[in-house]
This record gives sequence, structure tokens and C-alpha cells, in this order.
Amino acid sequence: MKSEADILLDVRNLSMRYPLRRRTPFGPRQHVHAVNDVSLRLRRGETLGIVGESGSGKTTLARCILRLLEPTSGRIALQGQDITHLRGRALREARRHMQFVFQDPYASLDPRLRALELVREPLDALGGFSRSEADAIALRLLERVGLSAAQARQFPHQFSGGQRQRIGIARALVLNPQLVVADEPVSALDVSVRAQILNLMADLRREFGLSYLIISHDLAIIEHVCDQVAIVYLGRIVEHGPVEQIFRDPRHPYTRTLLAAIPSPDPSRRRRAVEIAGDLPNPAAPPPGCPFHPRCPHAQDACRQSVPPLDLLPGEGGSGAGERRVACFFAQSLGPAPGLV
Amino acid sequence: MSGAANKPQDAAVLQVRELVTEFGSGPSARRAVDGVSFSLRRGEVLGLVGESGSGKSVTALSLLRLIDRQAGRVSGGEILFDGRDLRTAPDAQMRRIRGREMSMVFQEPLSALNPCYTVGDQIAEVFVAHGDGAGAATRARVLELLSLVRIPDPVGILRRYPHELSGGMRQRVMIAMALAYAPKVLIADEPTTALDVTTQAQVLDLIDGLRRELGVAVLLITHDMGVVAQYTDRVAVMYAGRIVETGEVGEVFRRPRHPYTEGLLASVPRLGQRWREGVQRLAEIPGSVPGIGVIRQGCRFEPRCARAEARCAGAVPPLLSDADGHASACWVTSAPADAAPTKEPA
Repeated sequence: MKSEADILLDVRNLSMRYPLRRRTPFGPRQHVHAVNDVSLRLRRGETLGIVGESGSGKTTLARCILRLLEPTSGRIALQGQDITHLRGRALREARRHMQFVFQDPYASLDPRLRALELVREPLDALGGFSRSEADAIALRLLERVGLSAAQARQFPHQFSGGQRQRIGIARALVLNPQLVVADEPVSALDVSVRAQILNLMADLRREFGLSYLIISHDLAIIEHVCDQVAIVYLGRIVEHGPVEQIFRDPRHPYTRTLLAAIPSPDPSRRRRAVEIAGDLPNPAAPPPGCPFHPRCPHAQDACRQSVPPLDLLPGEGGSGAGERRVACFFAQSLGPAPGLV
Repeated sequence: MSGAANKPQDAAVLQVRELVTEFGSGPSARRAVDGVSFSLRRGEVLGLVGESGSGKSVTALSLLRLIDRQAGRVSGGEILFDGRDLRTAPDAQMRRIRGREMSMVFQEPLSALNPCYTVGDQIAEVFVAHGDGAGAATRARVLELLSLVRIPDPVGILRRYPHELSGGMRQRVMIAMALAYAPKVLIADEPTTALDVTTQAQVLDLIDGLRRELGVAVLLITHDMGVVAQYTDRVAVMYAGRIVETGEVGEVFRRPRHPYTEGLLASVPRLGQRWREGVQRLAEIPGSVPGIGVIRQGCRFEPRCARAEARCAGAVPPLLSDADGHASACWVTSAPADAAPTKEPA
């Protein structure tokens, strides 16, 4: 087990509620619990994947961590500093160390700025660099992500989606952050271009000593790039731990459902149709008890009555032992997952 | 198109030959689809795979003559459906065919459904449009369709508006509309791209079940190699307006012949490969997808291809088929000695 000093990001009991519009003028105000009592840690140099379907709260969680939102309750610490309620100058200073890579490289770059200006912009905002220093830093990064000096003078519309995402990555790295949060970094890109960007991100992680928080609905990508993974469902983490353990032996029924639903790109492994009951419930009116129980094939009375805690799973040996947490009353008694590789 | 399609037992419902669709006119015309040929048999699922700009959606719209006339037109080839050439069929005949004999499910069910009408009214509209009225018989058929696509509580859903339904439910409604007259051909253009994985599995399992029950032939358009592997019988891989490889899906995935197909399959992360096979780094295809209608003399994949030779830039390679119907269009990997031209005799 590594020491406390290696913990880059420490999130404790984080919750984020959004108020809903009142149904009647003086009626009770209802809330959506987009993130509900989430705790997680990220060590230096590690990559943590957050997996969930639409409406699971994964993007809200990322926005809280980056303090683009102020959480309703809980605590977020970056490099030991509590950033949960920072404001103004202190918040800007903390944000230097954590940067965002957006999903859609078409919408997230200012069309009026050239590539070089886009990458230089964070340096200008921070101040303390001369024009030529800032240009040199930005150009060096653009070249590192695979764009030429000639391309540095071009505007976003002159680039392909993959190239735009390279600019987005260079822009995120220019302030030398510790943590990079990437929300679906390749899902808007063409399939043949995704591998380029994923490989580039892996290389940059080693070179710059970065830690990544990667949000995705694509489990194959998460498995490929992450060390740790957290599966979220209706705002709660239902399973969390080393990616290999979770993908080899998923213990939460929802994790199993997700893994079974992915179509394997191997025609010789045709799965039989898996019966997946129902849709994601309305996040504003989550079911009582375990949030997954209405769709769970193993649900029993206990699941309908109380929320299962995210407990450590005992009895796993080897490296990473005692790090696997599952929020299911029957995590240990479920048999091996059917039909998994 | 291929050797297998020439056998008499494989009566094709739909046969597309050398389809060309252009946008713009005169010297600025750009070919989004440039000589595409394939056939579709009863009860079969043909996967049409490609990235953005490959021409797969334009191919689908061309089949139903849904290309906006102001913008473009189908300028060449044949679309043989039940002995008629849809490319030259009169508009009135096309209106009878669309939604009745050949229908389409679109990618975004929320934008394809009208927000102002209830689900019941919108499905009934298919029957009204084909002259069957909106009476009690139609209502009964609408309910039947809703149960066919496994919508729980069909009576309750009739009065709902699209925004009140989940993405998966909306896509089921779209499928119900497409199946109103038990069409011979169903075109599904990225039907699950906007949906979550668990919903995607439900919708694709539904389409798979319906083609078994009803014998409808499905043209499934997707960019997801997993969807192709799990849900299609044959696959046609498109790149920059042309089919570069086609064949039985297991065969194409096991022994891809075109460097593009090979690269695409290698670059997609697969569950378990990191641990089982020790894959730490994904294979990359360099460069990016060309824009629509970029004119090249030779093979369109040549600038990105690791195996390209001098001749690849010279002329477009023909789609050559072996005896089993596995065809690819590559000067380097398709050996001309044991291959026959893929174009069917006129």
C-alpha cells in the first residue's frame, strides 16, 4: 500500500443535488441527486476510469472534481489541499493543476483562434510569460502532440476531428497540470482515429507524469487505458477497484449487465441474447433501497429496503488486495459471471 | 455482386449495381457514393460499415430516393427491387414502396419523431398515408405493432408524446412504424448509436428477433465493429464512397484482406485483450478520413496505407471476389491470379 503522500486526488462523500422546478407555486422543492455519497482516490501517475450510462452522474462528478460546480456536500482534496469551497484567485490557482479534455473537439475550440493561440491562451490567462516564451511553449506542445509549425497557424475548421482533439490535449497540458480529466475523449472521433488519440494520451501520461480521470461509456476503452475503475449507477459508485479484477470477475450485478451488453468484435463468440430488464429509472425519483434492484436478477427483500454500502471485498490475494469495493448485499455469494471472457 | 450471389437459391430481394450519388453539379459535383454494388437476401442482415463520410448513410438514402433534390441526385447505377429499378421508378410508385415494402429506422429517434403528435397518432399516420384510414382496425394494428416491438403497456403508450419516452422506447416506436406493413427490406441507419449499451443490446436483439420471425431483410448501417460481429451475416466495408471489402462476417473478421479492414479491426480495443494477449498499445491507422468527394486517381486508402506500392496511386483497384464471395479491392493483397471480376454479367 502506498503512502498518503501519493494520493493526488481524494474525494470523500461527495454529493451534488440539483433543484427541480416546483410543480406548484408554494409546493415542496424536489431535487435530483446527480452524485450521491461518492468517495474515491486517485494516486499519482494512475488512471481512473469512471463508467456509467447517460444520467448516471458521471459528468457531474467530473465537473465537481474540477470545481466547475460547487458540490452540495462532501470534500475534495487535491495534493492534500481542500478545494471543495475555494473561490476566486485561490480556485484559479488550484485549477492550474487540473485540466479538462472535452468530448467534442468541434464545439470546444474557439473558431476564431489559430491553433497556436488556442494552446497559448491558458498561459496568457495565467500571466508571467512574455509573448515569445508563451509562443515557444505552445509550439513545442503542438509539435509533441503531432502537429507541425505550419499547422500551428491554422484555424480549427481546417483540422480533422482527431487533429482538433490533439489541440485540445495540448491546451490541457500547457500549464503542466497534475490531473487531466477527460470526458469521453474519443467518442466523437472516427473509429480509425481513436487508437491514435488513446496511444498519444498514454505516451503523454508517462512523459509528463500525469494522472488521468477518464469518463467513458465504452468499457473496452476503459479496460485498455485504466488502472482503476469505478462503475456508477444513478449517482452512486456500485463497484470500484483495479480494472483487471473487476473485468475478470465482476461482483456487482450491474457491472455484469454492462459487460454482457457490449457486442464483442469477434463473430465466433456470439453471445445469446441477454435479457436486460427495463430502462434506467428517472434520476429524480430513484427507487428505494439499492438503485439497481428493479432491474437486478438477484434482487431480494433486503435490496428493496436499504441501500447496500460500498464495502471492501475480502479474500482477494495478490497486488491490489483489499482495494476492491462493491455495493451489493450478495457480492460474495454470486457465482462466477456467465459468459465472460 | 459476388460469386455466392449468383447461385440461384439466393434470390436477392434487393440488388444494387454500381450506384453513384453526387452532390452539387457541373465541375463542382462531388461523388459521395461511387460505384457501390451489393445484394440483400430474404431474412439476411447485411452490415454496411464505415466511418463518417464513407457514404454509408447516403447509400441508404439513395435506395429510398430520399436524397434532397436541391442538393444532389443518384446519377448512376441500378437499384433492383422486386424486378423494378427504383432509380427510375415514378414518384407515385416510390411513395407506395416507402414505408410499405422498404422502410427505414433513423439514428436519432428524437429528431425523427414529431414532437407535436402522440405515439399512437404517428404510427397510425403510416396507415393513413397508404390509404388505410385511422379507424378501429388501424388502432388494433398499431397496438399489435407496439406489442411486436415488446413495448410494455401498449395502450398506455398510445397517448404519450415522444419526449415522455426513454431513448430505447422511442427507437422501438420507430421500429414499429417501419414494420407497419411487414416490409421486405428494413434499413437501419446507426439505430443504436444514440443509445446506452444496455439499451443498444435490447434494440439490436429486437431487430434480430424480428428478422427471424418475419423474414425481413435488414441493411444494418453502423461504425461499430462489435455490432457487425454480433448481428450481421455478411458485411460490406465502405471507405470514401466505395466498398473496399465484403464477405461472410466470420470470414472477413478472421481473414481481412483489405489493409483498411485489417487496420480497423486491429485498432478497436477488445475486452480482455490487455490481459489475455498482453496488448499494451493499440494498432493505429495514420492520418484521417478524407472529406467527401475528394478526387483521387488511385486507391482512396493509399495515403494512409502501410502497404501501399507505386501502382496504388495510379488506378482504382477493382473489387475482386473469390469463390466463396469474399471480395476486396486492393492491388497488393488481392491476388489477381485466382480471383474473378466481381461485376455480374449484364
